[in-house]
Amino acid sequence: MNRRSRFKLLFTALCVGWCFLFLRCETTEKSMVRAVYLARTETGTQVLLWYQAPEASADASEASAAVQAAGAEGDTLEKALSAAEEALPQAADYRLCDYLLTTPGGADALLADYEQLVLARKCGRTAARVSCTCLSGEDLLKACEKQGGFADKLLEKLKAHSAEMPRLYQHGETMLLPLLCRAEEDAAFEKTALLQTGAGQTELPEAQAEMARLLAEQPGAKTFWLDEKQVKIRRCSVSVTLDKNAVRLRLDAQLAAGEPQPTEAQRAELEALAVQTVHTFWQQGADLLALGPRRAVQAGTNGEMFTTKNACPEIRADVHFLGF
Amino acid sequence: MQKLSRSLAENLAALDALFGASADYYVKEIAIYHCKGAIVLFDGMASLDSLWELLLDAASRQAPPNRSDAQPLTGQEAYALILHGSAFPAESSPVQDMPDLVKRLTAGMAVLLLDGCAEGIAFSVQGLKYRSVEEPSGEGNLRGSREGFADLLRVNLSLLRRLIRTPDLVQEVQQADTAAKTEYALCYCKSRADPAMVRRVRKTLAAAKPELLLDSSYFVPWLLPSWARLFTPVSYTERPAAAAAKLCEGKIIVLVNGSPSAMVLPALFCENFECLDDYASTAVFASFLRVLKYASFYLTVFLPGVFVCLAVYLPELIPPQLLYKIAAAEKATPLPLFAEMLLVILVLEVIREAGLRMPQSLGHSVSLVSALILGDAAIATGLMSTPVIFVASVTAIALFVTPSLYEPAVLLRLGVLLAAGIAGPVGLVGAFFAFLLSLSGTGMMGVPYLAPHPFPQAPLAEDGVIRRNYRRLSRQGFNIWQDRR
Amino acid sequence: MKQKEVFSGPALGLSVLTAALADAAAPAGSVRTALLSGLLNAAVLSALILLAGAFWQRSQAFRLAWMTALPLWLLAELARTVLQAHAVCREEFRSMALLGALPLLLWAGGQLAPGSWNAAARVLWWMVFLGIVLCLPGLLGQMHWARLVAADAARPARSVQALVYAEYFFGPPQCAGKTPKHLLGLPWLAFAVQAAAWLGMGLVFGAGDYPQRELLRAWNAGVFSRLDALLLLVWLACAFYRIGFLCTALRTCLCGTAPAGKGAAE
Repeated sequence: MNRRSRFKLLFTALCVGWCFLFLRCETTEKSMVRAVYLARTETGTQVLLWYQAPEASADASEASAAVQAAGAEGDTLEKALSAAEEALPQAADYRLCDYLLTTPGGADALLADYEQLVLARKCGRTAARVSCTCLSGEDLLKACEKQGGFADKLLEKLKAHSAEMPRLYQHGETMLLPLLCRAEEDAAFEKTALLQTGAGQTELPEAQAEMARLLAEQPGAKTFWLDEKQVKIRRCSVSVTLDKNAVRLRLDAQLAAGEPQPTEAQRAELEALAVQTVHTFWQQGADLLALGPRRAVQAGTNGEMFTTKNACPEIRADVHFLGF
Repeated sequence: MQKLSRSLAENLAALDALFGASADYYVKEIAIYHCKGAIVLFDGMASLDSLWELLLDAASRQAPPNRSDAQPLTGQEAYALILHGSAFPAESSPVQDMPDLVKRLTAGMAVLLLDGCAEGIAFSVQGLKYRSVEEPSGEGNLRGSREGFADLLRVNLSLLRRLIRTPDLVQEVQQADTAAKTEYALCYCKSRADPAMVRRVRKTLAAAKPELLLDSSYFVPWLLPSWARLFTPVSYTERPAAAAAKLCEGKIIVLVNGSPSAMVLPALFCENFECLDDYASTAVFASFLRVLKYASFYLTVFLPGVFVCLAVYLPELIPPQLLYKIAAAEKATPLPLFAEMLLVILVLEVIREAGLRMPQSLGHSVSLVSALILGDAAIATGLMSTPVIFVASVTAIALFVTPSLYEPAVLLRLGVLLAAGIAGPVGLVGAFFAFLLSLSGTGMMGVPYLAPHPFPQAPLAEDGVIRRNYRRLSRQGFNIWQDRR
Repeated sequence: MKQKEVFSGPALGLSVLTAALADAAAPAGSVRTALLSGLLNAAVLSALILLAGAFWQRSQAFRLAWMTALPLWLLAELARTVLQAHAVCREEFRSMALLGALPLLLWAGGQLAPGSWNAAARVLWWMVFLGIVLCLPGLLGQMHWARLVAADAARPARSVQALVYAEYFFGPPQCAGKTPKHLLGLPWLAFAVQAAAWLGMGLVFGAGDYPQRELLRAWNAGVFSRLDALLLLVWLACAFYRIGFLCTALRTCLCGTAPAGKGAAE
């Protein structure tokens, strides 16, 4: 072998060695965190992690991956989260962590802290869906331990109601948070909702919560009890027209299959509910119909703006039910 | 160069020295037109029956009258009479030297040597035993010709000539510079092929010095000198119909005596996904099949690597139910997912190679053993897991949709798997990029391997990933040497 | 079938797109002002490219200065792209594999001809297009115009920095002094990327100040909860492309001729 060939061989070996210096091999053995629960306690912060870590099974048809829970408390959110991660059987992986549960009262500050942690440590994402629960961390842990399948059902419920949940990055704005409470042996979402704004938290009654979801054009059917009868709206289009200081709100609703056409009284009740809901939001400092931005687009920055610091403009609602 | 002697005895002695030890060397001394001569041939290559019929029949009917002085014809006179003054079906060019004599004898001709004449007369009485024209097993099709090339060069040339019945087709036969002096043919349509490229190929093949030439692929290192290459911009076909179609596109075909495989150059990447059936089926179905072939190729190359990468590094891209089955399976086996996949792929390759090389009578045993070992015992012992075996099997089957890309696909598959397994998503991207560069950096004679018509340059081209109907395609024929848009 | 050994429009465009995607950041001020100033920047840059082409043909001194500065600029762009790609590999995929593959990438850049990069660019453009098509359905549901308007009203009007790349001025050296028309579109391409990023961030996050990658992480559609990794991998493939492309461009500038490609030589 001449000198040139030797040099080439050495150079190739160095290149290959250099390549392999930065390589590593990982496995799938991780605890996949699916949901996070945060709560302020008297001593600090409590964190619960719902995770999946399947048992070994070479024949994949026998494999099962039940959701389990692990929790911890700490002085700060970061300490509590680290402690909860240590309780997991394997290293935590947050790539599938899409749900965040928090408790009523002080949620905004906690969510802001968590968001900072997410941006710094990537333990989740800012687009995670947020909901509220009136169950404490201990209750949830006990339920997960004692009742088989409780955690799986909880996760299924979170998935089913995910369209109603706001995102973590909206914590500085208005958030309409679904509320998860205990129902016999299971956890279920209440029909009411929590309205969180800069002013604080307000619990909205069922009808107003449902109307707020309708006006926000969230997907899914909406059910109203009008004149003691149920009216189910499958789809609704919301149109807002601004006159000088008045607002015309038009709802074109498509009823669910098999639903009879609502009466005039039901329609009037629905219109009144729409106006009442917008007013309730306005009073809490939330602009449900984006009246301010609409006026800004219409009149420009020099025109008179709609802001929740002023009185709510006059709103006239028209509800039309489509015939198909 | 050793010339033939005027003495018959000297010529026969020289031939005895060369071939005397060979059992198939046949010499018969005869007298023709009262002149001493000898017929030399190789038994089994020339047909003795047709030779005797031809020669004796003609000799008896055309014997010149005895001359009045009763002197026999000299060798030279008999030669002139046979070659120019008779109806003997002899070759028009005489044999003048020993190498030419050997060349013609090994081509299956019989040569008549006459005493007193330094030239021989060759007769085309070949009776070579060769494999008949059959359907090639490696190129299946539903419609169209079932003929395949045989092993004999002359037969193959005749098959091409039958399909292209114009003076446009040129078939140049040369002897390669090898110890065995194997013949090869360079075929092209003179009005369609680029003359400069034909000259270049001719020169390259003439200058090539392979130790042995048993197949047209042996020329590739001279045609495409490179120390490493994943994709080779030449293709092979055993179908005369496919070869004729390529010739009509201006391509050059190289055929070698003793091999039914015709080398087509230059080739495009897209041609691996086309077949003759495409043009016999409807445009919609042909397009569907092409899309399927492209998908199968990319599946076979990337699926194992992508599977490992997604399961380990990017679990959010896999449905959770499947993810946990994979995780559970990996936990139960002693190897990490990437090593397991590598092992299964290598085992499948071993089984494939065994199936190819083994005697047919043992075929069932291998199928049974491999199915039992992989399908049952390996999972039961916890050595392998079902998701990995499933993925590896799917990729193995998908590979056979484009058999012409088998070699690069196998290597690429392993490369992508290694890269994805030990370098994660970055390795996967790097492997894909290397694959892309190996395609885009390949070309031959100025024709890039990727392009011009098919995806991605012009995916809705008339004969690219999808195909328009043949009437529309026929309006503007495709020539490989046309300028790129 | 012979290809011209110069970089095509798609090749230059892909390189600019890759850089612009990495450089586009949320504007400090209002999105409306940023869009207007971005438009102006793009128009000025296009005019500069034309002017530079005209000067190239007229002035020897200008040509000399250009050919001295361009390789340095290409080298700087190369280093920047490597650092950006490495940051993505480390932060998103916890991998240092790019450093391991870098010698191979640089070697490929030195070996391949512009024609190979042109062909590769067309494939990668399809992947970019696919990435854009995949991106939209996952983010459309989270985009609300009212957030953009409300956030914009609260922000001061500030102009934005123009994105200037070496590719803009690559025309005359490789095209015998002429400025191909596709070069004039490059600043507009960079602006389009910037504008898409600003609008996306504004429509989804409103007034929130988040890093650009959070926009990708917000993707969510159907069964798939996240697709940011796939979109980042598409960008990474483009970044690999840009690294190799800049190497070849650098070599073309320094050696004066393109490296002999396999397709051309055989």
